[in-house]
Amino acid sequence: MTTPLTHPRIILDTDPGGDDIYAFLWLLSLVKSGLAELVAVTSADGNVAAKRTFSSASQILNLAGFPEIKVGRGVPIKQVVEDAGHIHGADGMGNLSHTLPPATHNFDEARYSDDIIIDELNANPGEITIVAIGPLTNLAAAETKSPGILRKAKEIVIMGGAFFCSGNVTPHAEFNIWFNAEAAQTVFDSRDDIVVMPLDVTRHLIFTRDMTQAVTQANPQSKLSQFLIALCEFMIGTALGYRETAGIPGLLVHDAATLGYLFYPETLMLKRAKVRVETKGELTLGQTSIDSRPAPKTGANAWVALQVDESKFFTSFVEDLKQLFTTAELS
Amino acid sequence: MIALPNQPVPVIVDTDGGVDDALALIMALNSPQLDLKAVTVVAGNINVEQAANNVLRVISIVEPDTSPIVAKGCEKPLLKPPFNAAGIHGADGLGELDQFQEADGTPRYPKLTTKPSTENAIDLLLSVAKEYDNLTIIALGPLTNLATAIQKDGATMKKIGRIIIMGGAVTVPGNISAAAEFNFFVDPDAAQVVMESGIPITLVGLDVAMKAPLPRQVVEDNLQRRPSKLSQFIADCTGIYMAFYRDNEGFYGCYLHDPLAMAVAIDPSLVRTESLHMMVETQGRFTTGMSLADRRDRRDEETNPPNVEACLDVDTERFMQLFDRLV
Repeated sequence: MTTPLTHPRIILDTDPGGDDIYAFLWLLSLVKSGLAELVAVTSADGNVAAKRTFSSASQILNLAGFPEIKVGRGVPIKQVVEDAGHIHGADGMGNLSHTLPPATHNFDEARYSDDIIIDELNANPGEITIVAIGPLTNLAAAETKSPGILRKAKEIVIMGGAFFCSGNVTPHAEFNIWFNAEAAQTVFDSRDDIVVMPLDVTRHLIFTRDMTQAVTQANPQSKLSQFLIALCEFMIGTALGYRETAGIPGLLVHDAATLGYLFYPETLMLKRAKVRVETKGELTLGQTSIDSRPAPKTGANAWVALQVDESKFFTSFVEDLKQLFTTAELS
Repeated sequence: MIALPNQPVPVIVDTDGGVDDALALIMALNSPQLDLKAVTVVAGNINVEQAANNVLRVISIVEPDTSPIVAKGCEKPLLKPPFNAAGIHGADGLGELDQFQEADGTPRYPKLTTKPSTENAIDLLLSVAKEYDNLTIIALGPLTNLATAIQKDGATMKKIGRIIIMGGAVTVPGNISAAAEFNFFVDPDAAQVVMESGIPITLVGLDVAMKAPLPRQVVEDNLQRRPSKLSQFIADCTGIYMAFYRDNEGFYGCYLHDPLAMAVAIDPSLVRTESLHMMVETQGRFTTGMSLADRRDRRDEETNPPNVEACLDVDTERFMQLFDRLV
């Protein structure tokens, strides 16, 4: 029995991004089923540039039938680093943006993502869950502009980091944290209960071609299904090229782990930890670490997911997506 | 590079004169498979003067037929400020031997009359490396001496058959910091120089050192069973070291980091290794001294070919038997 009090009211901070899109669609299916409210989408600079992530967010909202949700434009990052266009396509969605209806939100007139975060958290203290699945630039900018603001969120759940496994963008760091390590450190310093979905669990989350088929088969001709099938094929190509899935034809849906945490928490095991972000190392820039030596330590600031039941996770993920896809419009 | 069965391998031990270094040195002096040409001393656990004195102390206890040359090397790391572990190994780096007295009140460890060579360790390393094709170096402290020798004359150093390094931590946390093992932490720049040198390297890190514990009880039983100058020395020099582990890790004993490196030199079959491309972080806020290997599936072994054999597993039982025999 869900009551209004238990429905998460979510701000999604995202840099679409193939796996961001999978998570985004899962969230929208839960919103459609009345299990969550999407307050705003704060797009971020990351996988591809801010202007692109903004319009992708707008396009996905339109495609899935939610054009009225507001979209923020990403706070620019000070130091430009490599993006992930080579993984997600130059437009962040497998070069498929031209197949979708155009963006309807206006980038030049949009509010900045950090201002949206500050206003929403001030207006609804203790009620809003921030789901952050891209580099943490917007959240850090909000915290810097308005110190203590992030503590007004009900909960902050991020996709990022790699603790007891290799990184992806570099051998020792995961992309979201590496892209803006100082922003990540700011977020970890802002409260003592950041929930972290790192590569340790997300590298096990392979969304396969078969699963995509299961989601789309009841309504394969809809624009939404056609888009997902094509995106899936594109992402499988890069996942195999970068040897991310040990040869299995699928893509790693890192960002979806955050929704697993919020809606199917029993599929995850989390460890309480003091997380640190390396911001100065040459080879270890962006590395996240937990001090696991026997001596005592204070200042635990996070809950880090380290194990996931993939089978249960995907059963729920696929079933939820079907709700959105089965009733999607054909054109 | 593999020694013929009955021919001892020429060896130099590079050490920072701490407690487990001493145990490793005893093994080297007692091992017929190793022909110990010299002991080069580096600052690390303790300053280089005291470390050299500690090496001479061990030699005076073991009393080998031929003593190796003992030469002092670098007093501080290549770039980082000096850092020691007197709090762990004792103020003299060897368990504060001046506290021990015989029953009649005379000091058990009187001042030594032997002195280190006047030749410096770097020149000695290079001259011995020129002489042999299969010289093995067993490096038990920060890698400052080796890196300095490589920077001075890399071509000669490339003649070395193998360097067996006690250092680093590939799959386990660090000890001196969350990310780094002590030797690499003290001089990460030197460690990186050695990693890039092209000399074959076997890395004996915390991954296996933590699987080689020596309980205090075993040392005390040994003293009872086989009373001698040597077993007394072992009990004495490990006192403070083992108390540190008892107070900080709940284990009354110590880990045999350096003896394990020595054992690998004598019998490489004791360990299982993995070929890795290893680099050392020199700039990190939390990660200085961290030993880093790219273990992703997508790693590019053409651009970054493996440069070390990293020990990841050890046959603890067989190692302890070897240790017991040589010590």
